[in-house]
Amino acid sequence: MCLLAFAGVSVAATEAWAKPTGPRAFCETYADAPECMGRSITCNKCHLSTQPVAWNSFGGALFGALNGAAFDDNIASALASIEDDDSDGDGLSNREEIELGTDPGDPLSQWMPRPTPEGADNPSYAIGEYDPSYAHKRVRLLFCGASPSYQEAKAFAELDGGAQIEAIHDALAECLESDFWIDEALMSLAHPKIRPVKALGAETDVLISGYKITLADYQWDYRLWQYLLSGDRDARELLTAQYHIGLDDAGNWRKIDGIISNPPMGFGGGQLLAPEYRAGMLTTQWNLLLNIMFAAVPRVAAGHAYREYLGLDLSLSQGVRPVAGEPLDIDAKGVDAAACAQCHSTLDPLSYAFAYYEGIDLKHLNRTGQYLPERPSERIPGWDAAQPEFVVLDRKVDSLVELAREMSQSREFQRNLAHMFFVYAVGHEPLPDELDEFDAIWTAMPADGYSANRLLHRLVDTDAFGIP
Amino acid sequence: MIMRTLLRSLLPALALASGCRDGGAGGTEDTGSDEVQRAQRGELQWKRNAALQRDLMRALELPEDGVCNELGRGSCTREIHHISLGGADPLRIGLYEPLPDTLVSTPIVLERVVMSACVNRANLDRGGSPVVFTELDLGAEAPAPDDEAFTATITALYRRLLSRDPEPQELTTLGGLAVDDAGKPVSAHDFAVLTCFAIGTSSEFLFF
Amino acid sequence: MINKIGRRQMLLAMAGAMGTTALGSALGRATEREGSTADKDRKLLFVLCATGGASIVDSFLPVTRTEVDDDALADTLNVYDDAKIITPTGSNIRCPGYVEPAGLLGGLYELGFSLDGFLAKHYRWMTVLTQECTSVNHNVGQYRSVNGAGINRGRTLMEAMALRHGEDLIIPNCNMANDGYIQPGVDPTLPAFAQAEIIASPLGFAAAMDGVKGVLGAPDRALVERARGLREELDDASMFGKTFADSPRRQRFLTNRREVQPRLEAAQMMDRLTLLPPELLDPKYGVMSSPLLPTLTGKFSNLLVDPWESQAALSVLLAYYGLSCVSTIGLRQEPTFGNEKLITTPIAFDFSHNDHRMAQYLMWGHVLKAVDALVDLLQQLDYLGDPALGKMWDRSMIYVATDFGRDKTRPAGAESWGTGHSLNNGTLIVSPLLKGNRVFGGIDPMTCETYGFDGSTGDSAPSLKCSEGHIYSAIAQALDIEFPERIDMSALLA
Repeated sequence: MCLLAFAGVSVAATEAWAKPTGPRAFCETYADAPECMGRSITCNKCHLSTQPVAWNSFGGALFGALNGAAFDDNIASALASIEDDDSDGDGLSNREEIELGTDPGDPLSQWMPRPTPEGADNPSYAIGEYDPSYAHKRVRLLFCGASPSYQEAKAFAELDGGAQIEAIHDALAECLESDFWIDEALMSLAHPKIRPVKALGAETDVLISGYKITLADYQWDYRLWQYLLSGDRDARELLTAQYHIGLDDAGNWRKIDGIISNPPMGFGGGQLLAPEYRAGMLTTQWNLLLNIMFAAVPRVAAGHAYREYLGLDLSLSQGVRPVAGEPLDIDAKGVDAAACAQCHSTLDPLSYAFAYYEGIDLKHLNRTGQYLPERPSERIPGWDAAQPEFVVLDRKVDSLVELAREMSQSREFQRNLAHMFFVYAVGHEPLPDELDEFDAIWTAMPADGYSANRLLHRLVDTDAFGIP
Repeated sequence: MIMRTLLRSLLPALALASGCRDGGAGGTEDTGSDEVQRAQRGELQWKRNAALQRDLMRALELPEDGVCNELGRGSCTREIHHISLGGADPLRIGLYEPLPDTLVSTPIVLERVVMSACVNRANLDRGGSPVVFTELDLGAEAPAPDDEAFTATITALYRRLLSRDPEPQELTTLGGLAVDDAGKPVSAHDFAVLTCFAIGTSSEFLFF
Repeated sequence: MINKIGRRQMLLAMAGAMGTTALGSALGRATEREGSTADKDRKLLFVLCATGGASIVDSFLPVTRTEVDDDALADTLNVYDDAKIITPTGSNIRCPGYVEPAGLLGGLYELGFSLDGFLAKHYRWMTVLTQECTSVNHNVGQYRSVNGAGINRGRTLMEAMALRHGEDLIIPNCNMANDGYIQPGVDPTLPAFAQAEIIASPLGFAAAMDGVKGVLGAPDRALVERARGLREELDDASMFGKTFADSPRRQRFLTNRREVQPRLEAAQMMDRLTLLPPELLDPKYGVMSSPLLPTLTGKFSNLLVDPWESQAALSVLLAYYGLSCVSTIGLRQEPTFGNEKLITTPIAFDFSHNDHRMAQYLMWGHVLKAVDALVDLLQQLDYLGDPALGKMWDRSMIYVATDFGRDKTRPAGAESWGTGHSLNNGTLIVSPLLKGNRVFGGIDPMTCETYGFDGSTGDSAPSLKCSEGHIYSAIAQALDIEFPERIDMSALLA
């Protein structure tokens, strides 16, 4: 749906054609479609390729239905006009495929429903229905790291149905406090977010004149992650926390509110950022170091945040929300070129908010992770003249702190967090017949106080988790 | 918590429907037919490296360093074969998420891990107060399949590794491990290790 | 348990009625065969991943000061003094000579391998291709360097290679690299055999070739085989096995256990792939060093401590013994120490952020040292040990993949400076399968930016740009990998 691509061939191409507003328009029309609820819509809905432009059969039909009319004003009616067609000839109408979550432009994109159970009753498993014993074992292995013992399994089997469900949740509650869950599984789920590099962290082997070349300590990031995704805490603080989590002498978590100095004999390793400029995982010293590094306009940091905390990977054309007038190409990197502009019209307005934070300044290594009000003006010649606006998810914000808050309150944040746990627990992406359950889980997060633990309790109740 | 309770309230009817099943611990009478209902979803998960290690520690009552050390150079599950066993490796190779599926080497590595753990358990039981192979004289020959010690040993292993009782035909099948290809009894130590290995490397132990 | 019967469920049921169509399509894909290669025709690919951004301007496409023709401009560009550039006799390619250790960590480096020595020895096989990639994000850039930015249905080069040449091999696609270079392709129709076997520990990988060898106290192999046989019976007969007989994950596991593992054990691959020397192998384990280890250590003397070398050494064994047709190795982010000094930088080529020229020289040297060793070994060894099949080199290609290029500018007059990431770069391929001693494309001295070429004619032009897809296509074409979107690069073929 990246309509930029249409500009390549449309005789009547207008400025509207050149805006990649397709995904947003699609979801305004089909708000309940899987692509607009439990998944992220991409250009593939209509395109085989955007560079060079090529459409699939659905995209081609849509293009034909628009018949040269202004895109933004006519997309809804054009979509409606081809709903009953079967553009890819696979036997389901476009509307049906949109509701199902398959691609209406790809005849091979189909969903094979589960087979109806056949044969004699299975004496060990509840086929086709939620099997408490099966779910119980899964809970114990996934969240406690070990199977139920024979005695535990036997005791579980002797419970009546309601008590079995209670026992599943009791087991889960116990497991969610376990070392396995917090120090193994939960920590493992953080790796893509934190992306540790030992050579630059606190465990580095490299010394210069007795100084470790530690530039930042990612253990702060892991602790904040573990802390906020356990104990029924508010997961939104992943993006809004203005404190850090240390360890006391007994190895227990300790909340630290102020500035944390770098340890002696290291270039980094503390948290020097003033609390009022903090935005949880986005502004740890490690995250700013790793993802900003030397960049004047920290696009990598913004893209990483967008991908890891909202589940929107701009390199896969997910979450394209073009901002009018963007990209400004404020640092003359050529991002306004046709091939780049469709993503950078979303990415750059996110990136600007990170520009006040230092990644690495080789002359002042102690600035890593600090807020420097003059940094954009000093590093980006066009900054003052352009006065760029910061925009995330179509909302204008004034700072990274505000941007992160908007992110934390978004549907995308909820969905992404739930998706991570779903894939962990179930072992695959939500399938078409699991999307209703998945949507129910992530949309319940506000009611559950954004607690990861409560989300997991809902998750183990699903058919996706408990039907063998 | 309120929402959880609400959700739970929806479940008893379905849960009751499964109440008549063995629940995984009581053993089942195999119908002898291959025509039982197959899983509708069949989306099995597999025990990743950390869970595999812990489950073997639990089942065989071994310390963490007593499960598997590869050629004396490092932990099989944590350092040498962790990728093959479904672990991530963010620091060494930037593998931030574990691989979704087993690799070519996974069954081989699983065998090494389980074999090592079983040998270590048998050695410990032979050298001190036995914990798992309590019914065997590990310095003697393997018990005959009709010996109580045979059934007790197999049953203990099924309970420890698979959390269920063995089926009659499983006992019968494993009788084949009390002797070698020539029909000569093997040592009780080998019998202990081989039965532990056969059950511990079954797909039922790895997948859930 | 959230049971909502809605329109989606109805549609699911309708989709069931389409089952025949869907199944037919799926079968059509699953049975697709793109060519199985007999030993004599098989090609071999070695992908060497220069993690962090290896700049072609600092290796085989350098610019000299006088070529800029403007001193002030030259002061701001990444150019070399004319005297620093070396063109060996017979070579049409040139490179920088020795770069004195300097800069932030100058005293910590140990420069061990010269670019000009490499060039003088191997220029005949070297092909330099200019390119402009499409991402300056490390992970994305790495991934696109091996998947051609998705040009071949999302298959990585390694997957395509395994599909084309590896169907009869046991583990055709071995990947020891890192980060984006180990990311799988996105083609859901790719057969399982072509997916990569990820190897994090090259020194320990041999042990993954045998289920019991070297496990202290394991019963005799005959007894183990007996146990395995009974286990298979139990697995199929158990209620778990019957219930989950259709589980794809379980099926995949059992297929490897029942079909692949016996082949590996029968071929005694554990002893053949063991890279540990006899003195590090306690005899009690009964494990032998690879018969080729002395040959390998002659070229990879540091393989016990340098993961780059141990990966390269294992890649030779995997190909030589006919296990794989494509191996991928990668520079680690962690620095490697030689004789008390660093022989690689922290974060590999990306240390260019801190000290561009030194990082590039040091790391290019490290990469090329392995290329040199690989070429020597491949030229020395008969494929599968069979003289009738010829030398491995005759069927090999070494592709030096990298994330992206580096910025071409520097602070005026700076001798030591840091650079950011740049889309503009070039690629080195070393192979008898391409026209060697040749640069395709060119470089503008006034910007130090490269420009492209026409793959069908080989003609260069400042108006042309070559993308990841061009590089992918060139490699594919040389390796007999066909796909509809492949760009014609026939001018590059030997």
